Amino acid sequence: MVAHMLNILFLLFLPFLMLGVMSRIKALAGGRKGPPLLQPFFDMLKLLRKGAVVSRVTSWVFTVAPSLALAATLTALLLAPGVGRAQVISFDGDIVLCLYLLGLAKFFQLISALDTGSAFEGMGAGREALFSVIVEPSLFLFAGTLALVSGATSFGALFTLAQSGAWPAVAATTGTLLFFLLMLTEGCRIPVDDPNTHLELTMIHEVMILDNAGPDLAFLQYAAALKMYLFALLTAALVLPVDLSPLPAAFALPAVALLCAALAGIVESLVARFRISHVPQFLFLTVALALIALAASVYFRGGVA
Amino acid sequence: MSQILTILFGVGILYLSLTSRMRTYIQVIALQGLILFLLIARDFGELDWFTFFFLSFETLAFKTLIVPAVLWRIVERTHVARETDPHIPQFGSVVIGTAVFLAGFAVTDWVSRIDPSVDALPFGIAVSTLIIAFFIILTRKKLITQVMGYMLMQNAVSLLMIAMAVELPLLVNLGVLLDIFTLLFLFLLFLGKLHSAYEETSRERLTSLRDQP
Amino acid sequence: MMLPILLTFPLLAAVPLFSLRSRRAERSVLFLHALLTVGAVLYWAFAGPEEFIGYFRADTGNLLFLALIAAVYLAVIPASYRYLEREKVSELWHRIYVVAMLLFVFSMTGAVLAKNLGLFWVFIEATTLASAPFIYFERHQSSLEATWKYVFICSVGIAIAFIGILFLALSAKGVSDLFYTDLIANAPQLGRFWLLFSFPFLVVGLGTKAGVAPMHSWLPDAHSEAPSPVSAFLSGMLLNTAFYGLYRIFLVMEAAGLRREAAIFFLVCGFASLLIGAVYISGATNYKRLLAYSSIENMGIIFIGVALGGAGLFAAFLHLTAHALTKSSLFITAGNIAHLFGTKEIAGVRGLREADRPTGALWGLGFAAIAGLPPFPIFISEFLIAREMVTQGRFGLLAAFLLLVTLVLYGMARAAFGMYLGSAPAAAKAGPSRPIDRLPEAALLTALLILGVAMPDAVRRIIDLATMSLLP
Repeated sequence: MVAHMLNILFLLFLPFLMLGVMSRIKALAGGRKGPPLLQPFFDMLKLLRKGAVVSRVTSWVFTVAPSLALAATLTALLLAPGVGRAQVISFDGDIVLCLYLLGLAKFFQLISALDTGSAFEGMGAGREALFSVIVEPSLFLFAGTLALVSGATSFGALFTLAQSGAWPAVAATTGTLLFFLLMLTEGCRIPVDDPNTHLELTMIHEVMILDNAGPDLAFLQYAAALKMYLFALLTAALVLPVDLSPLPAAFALPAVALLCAALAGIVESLVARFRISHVPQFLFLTVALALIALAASVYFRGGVA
Repeated sequence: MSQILTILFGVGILYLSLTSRMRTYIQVIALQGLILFLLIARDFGELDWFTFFFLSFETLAFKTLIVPAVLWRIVERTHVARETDPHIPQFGSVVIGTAVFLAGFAVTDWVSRIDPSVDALPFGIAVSTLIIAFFIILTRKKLITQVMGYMLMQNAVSLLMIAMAVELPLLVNLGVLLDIFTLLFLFLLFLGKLHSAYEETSRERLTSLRDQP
Repeated sequence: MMLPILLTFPLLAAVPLFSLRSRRAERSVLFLHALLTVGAVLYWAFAGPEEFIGYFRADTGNLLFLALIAAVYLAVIPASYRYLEREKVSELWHRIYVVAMLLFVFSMTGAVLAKNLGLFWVFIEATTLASAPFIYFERHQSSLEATWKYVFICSVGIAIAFIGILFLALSAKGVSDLFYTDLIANAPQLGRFWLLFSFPFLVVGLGTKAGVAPMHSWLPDAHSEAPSPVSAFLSGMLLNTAFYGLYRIFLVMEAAGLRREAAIFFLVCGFASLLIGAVYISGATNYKRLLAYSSIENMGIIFIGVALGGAGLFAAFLHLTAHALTKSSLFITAGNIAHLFGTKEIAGVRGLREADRPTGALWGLGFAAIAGLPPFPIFISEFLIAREMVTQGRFGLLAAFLLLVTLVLYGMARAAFGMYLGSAPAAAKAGPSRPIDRLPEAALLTALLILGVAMPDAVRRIIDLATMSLLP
């Protein structure tokens, strides 16, 4: 029960804190002081208080999409393993639902971007769709690998079993890297996308939400932050030891999440954004990692403990 | 821990087939040198101090620092920032890189079934690295990239030695030493002559000696 | 007694040469080294085997190779003197030439004398390093290119061979070290899987140095760019040295009961080389490159002979002997022609017969010898190989072999006749050369004629021993 409470509490704060840590690290690397750590949270509160302007050419899709995206992402997060790998909701095969909920959120964001009829937003949606096509299989592949190794189909059990059983270090390493890359991709960070860019032509995520305002914008940004948090959660589930007692586990989770954010911040300060044409290659790396994890799990099962 | 290092060694290769930036190549080579050193350091207890000293000098000083530094300097001097126009498109080379890894694992699986004493993971990664190094040597046009492919091959051989735990007699050490000589020679050739002879060091220019069947 | 002298002399002699700064001293050291090599070979031939610090051994198994090194060396030295004189090389490059030659021969003798596969590998690597300055010797753009290719491809080959040795060591783990004799003695206990796994790496890796396909591409460039006397050495001895080590490993495979598998690799490499040689010989426009392709082709024939076994084995070693002598002679003559006509293009050379009668005669005879016309020994070896194919009932191989050899003959003949006949350009009619200048080339061809017409029993025995005595 406590774990569930904590999970939900974390859902409310940690995503923003991660964003805050990222921008703080970037600021420090750039020799600036940077905004307060919870600035993204305050930004959202401010947006929630504002009204929204909705373009006349849009249909109901545009109105519904932000709330739907947030709801779907939140539900997906409830399915994900949190403190001590406990899920708020869990059943056999919840992993599939979780991934499909993310897909649903993305789908609505895409068509709402198309709905505005703006050339820029259509372009952003197109890019986002292309990248998703490449990234999605890697997540499913890796989830399948975990299921293969552990024999379970529920998120929490997946990680617990996989780690305690014959869990090849190959898959652990590739998995961590994979989740980190996915976090950068889905969180629309450098080197895939630049959240600070002001040139519509180079934007991906930011250009898709150009027409959203007020609470809608807040919802979409929260959903994006949540997605990043999801991958931090998965990383934590992968790397944290199974036999952690509740209290350290409660601290370890945010620690891992913030560490991921810090690493992402470091990457952002060091690396330049890829050319759009280079991004698919980079994203294919995630598929490659998942494939390697799968191959290693198949070939080295039991062989390499 | 050593397994994680080995995986990182392999992922470095994968990342390398992804990019065309010379500096990334150099960074990956240096990283691999460091990983090799750490892998050897892990075996510290099992090696006699001379072999240990020798091998760690070779990996840490030579592979991690000196060679990448020289390569870096060459890149800065010749202004070849990236490998342009390889024979095979970049995206293709990532796909091929992945396929090679899968094939390498399959070979390893086959080998380790026959000889269980082989450390499967480093063996598989070494085999894959070897194939990718050949791939780079054969498909990339710039001479410096080919040298880097050769370096990758050397790293793969070192990893292979670690994987197979061949008791290193003095002769193998000698072999390593001579490889270094060859490399130094390559660099001398590269630094001293090829650079002054071609404005752009590219294999495409090395085509005056060729026959038509 | 001779082993330590032979192995230390070039190293010790190379050092003072740098301070002496005298061309005459440099040349005499070189000549002394050659005489020493010849003396050592004679000594071993009569006094029997000799060992040195447990890592080197001269015996009947490598006597043939040592004798060939000595013979080619002796022939190359006067040619080198002539080359260095007429090219008017600077003092520095003169010294580089001499020192590199000392080290090159040292590394080749070391490789042949080494009892241990690892040591052999080290010496093979040393041959690459020692011979690289030669290929850059003329310092053209194209020599640079050839040097790069040579060093790079050979380094890759050496690395592959090293992987092969690693696998071989794995197969010998706990059973044997890497001494040839131990490997052969313990061959039945070697891990068959790793032995089989290592062999392709060794064939490709050492095959790079031996000039067989698939990694032969350095060879034409290096041979055409190096000074002609050095090309003679590269073709005549370097290829054979690498082949020597490979043959020893082949014997290990044979002793381990894997002869059939090993023979397949040799056969594939051999035929690929023969094919490449045949195809490129017909299209060659540069006669030094033509000779280089012919080397690839001949190494292919040697590999085929070894793969066949039986009488093919003797044929292979006879072929190796004949090829080393013929090709050295041809390359030295090619150097003379290049000097006479100022070009390496086949199209640029006309009327050798008129321009310089002895050179023309040597060129024609050399071509007859290398193309396998009777009474030269290459005819005998090719005939023996063909007969062995008939004996074994491999008619498909026979057809391919004969076809390719005929193709080679055609390509050779076309180039040779074109160069020999016709009227020479006026510029090429150089002053009369002294017959003594052509002595080494002529001596090599004479030796070949003797081998072909009436092979002395001693030679036959040496060749026989080189093929067989390796087995314990």
